[in-house]
Amino acid sequence: MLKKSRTFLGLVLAIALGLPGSVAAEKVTLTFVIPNTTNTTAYEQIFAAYKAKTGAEVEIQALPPGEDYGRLLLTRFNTGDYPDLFEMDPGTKQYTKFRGDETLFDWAKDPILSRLTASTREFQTLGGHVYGIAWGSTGAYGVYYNKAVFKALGKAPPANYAEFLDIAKAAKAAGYIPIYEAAKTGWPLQVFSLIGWPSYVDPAIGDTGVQKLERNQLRLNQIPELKNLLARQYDLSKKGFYQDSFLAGTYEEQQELFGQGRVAMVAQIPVFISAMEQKFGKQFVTDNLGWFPLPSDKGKGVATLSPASQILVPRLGKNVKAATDLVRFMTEKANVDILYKTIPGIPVYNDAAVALYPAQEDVLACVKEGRAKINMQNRLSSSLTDYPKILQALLMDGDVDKALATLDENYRKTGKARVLPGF
Amino acid sequence: MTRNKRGNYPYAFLIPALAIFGILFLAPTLTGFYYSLTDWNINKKGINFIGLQNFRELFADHKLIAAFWHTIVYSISVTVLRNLAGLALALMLNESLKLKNLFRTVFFLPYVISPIVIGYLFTAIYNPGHGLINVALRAIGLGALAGDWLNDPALALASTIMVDVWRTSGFAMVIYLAGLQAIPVELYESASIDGSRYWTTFGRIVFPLIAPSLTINLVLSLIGTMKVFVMILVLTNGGPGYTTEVLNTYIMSAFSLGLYGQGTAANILLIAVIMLICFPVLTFLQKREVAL
Repeated sequence: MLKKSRTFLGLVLAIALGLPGSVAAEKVTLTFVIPNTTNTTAYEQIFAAYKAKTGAEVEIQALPPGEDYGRLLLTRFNTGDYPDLFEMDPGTKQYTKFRGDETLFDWAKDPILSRLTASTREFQTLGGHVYGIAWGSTGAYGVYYNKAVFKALGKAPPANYAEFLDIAKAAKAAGYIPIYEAAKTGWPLQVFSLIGWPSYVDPAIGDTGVQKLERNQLRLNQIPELKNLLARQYDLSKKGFYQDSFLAGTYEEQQELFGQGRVAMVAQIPVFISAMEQKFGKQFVTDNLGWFPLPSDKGKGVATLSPASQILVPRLGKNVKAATDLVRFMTEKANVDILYKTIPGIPVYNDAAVALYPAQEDVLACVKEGRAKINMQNRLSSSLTDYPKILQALLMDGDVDKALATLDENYRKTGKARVLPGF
Repeated sequence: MTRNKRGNYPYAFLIPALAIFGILFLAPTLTGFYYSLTDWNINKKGINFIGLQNFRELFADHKLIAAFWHTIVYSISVTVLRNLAGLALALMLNESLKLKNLFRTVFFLPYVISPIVIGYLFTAIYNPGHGLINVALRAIGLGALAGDWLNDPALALASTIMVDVWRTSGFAMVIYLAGLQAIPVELYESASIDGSRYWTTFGRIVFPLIAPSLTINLVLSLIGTMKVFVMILVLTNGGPGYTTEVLNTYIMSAFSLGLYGQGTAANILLIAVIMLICFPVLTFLQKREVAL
């Protein structure tokens, strides 16, 4: 009798504690955090397949993008409210930001890594640890232009900065918005100077200069080329090349007007391609969306590459096992193919099948010509904190020195806050 | 029961309230004060006492100084305008109007709507291109007055202030209405018989007798508006540039950088500012109530 009672009690406890095979284990709902600019089509398909296979639900939580995204996630980490998994900007600096050694799951010995391209694997490794699994594709920041508008203007992508200004001038004269700036949204405002960095700043300071910035041995306000770059952005606004009331410009309106053929050019990030595809269809992106790097004074300029994003799993989360299983499922070839089919891009998985858009073919051509550099934000461990606000202020008062001083101050303050060597 | 025992008896009832106050307010405040004197940082292991260094760094930061002034301007402007609007509405709805109950509900409604929702609504209303305000101005031939309400640095703070005034005037109205309805009708009748005009009655009878309502409204408004956060976050996120940055958005930035010690120090500053402004105001108003 006593033995029967113990067996029954054991069964009850097993069910209550959710031991393997119990009903409770199948009812896992994973929280997956992404920026709200992400095209979720692939996620929805992959998560539906995952639910069909395992019974586990995946709930997508979309947060505001850019600096706010990192802030919100950090706040959640700091309060112990870990998402099960989340998408994040690429690179190992995120490991420092989220204190990877204490909080993140390490994939260093996982077979997924063998399917990543060698450069991606190297880019994601820090001191033998891999806390983020690359997800997505290598993309390019740059000037995205409406081919139909360029055709109407009789223009081709510019061969130098003077030609770039000529195109803007011609677009304005023809009644188009030459360049739409989503200044109210904030983050798009920083793209111009980021795409200008490889064409203007990198040639001046070289990789040595970037390494000095990384160690706080060079100040941002000591780089005249960066000051000139900011001055160029202000100059575009003074010349009237931005839309009216550009400080009220939003990312949504930027997409809308670009798709309607009222905007000639926008400085944007790779996600712009999938956003335009979602709103205006594959045909529009194939036929009308062009890309070129910000030209330098003497040449076509250097492309600004953004490595693929990454998926991170907090190892202090509630469902670590299920979350890592989901990542393994997502990175199976069939699911990676779904990703590249819905969001085409230069793949980071060796075995992926992908058909690129013409704009992406142009990026690839740039890479093959050796005219490409990784976005400076991904090369530095500290951050250009409040960059959009600083640029908003610059466009209001035109004080380039003040903008550069604040940028430098914030960069060093963030480095110090992250306890980076040299800061 | 001895007299001494009877004397201590009421204090026993204070214990639960004091315990809750101590645990939920005093302890966190004192702990916060301690942490404001440390280098508490998410990226550092261990917490070290650093004296007043956080405060020195805060006072050297021009962004904090700007945020401080914006908070003061915001707080005083909203408090004054909210009270003027609330009092005007209360006086109007204290008269015998047919639909006064409906109007009371309508004017109070914005206060029960989430500030986030109101923020998003006004982002659309303030849109320079197709927002309600500019469309209306253009429709009546006042297009020259149409502005970029939330993105023009000269207008942004004032625009956020007006939204908060619109949102909270109904609350002030309710408090003033309660005060107005407590005034005996006989006083109005006596004043009327003596030939007193409206504004004389208001200045000599009504305003002095609603002094407690004024005290509550002013103090609550000052405290609430100095802690403004959500409205600014949704409407302008402190921008354009830093033109609408307030103390709480500054504090959020410090916390999001992982600078918990500095964020806590900024929070202590905010508490100090609130106390420095509200205590004298409260003391003055209460003395005035007694004098009246």
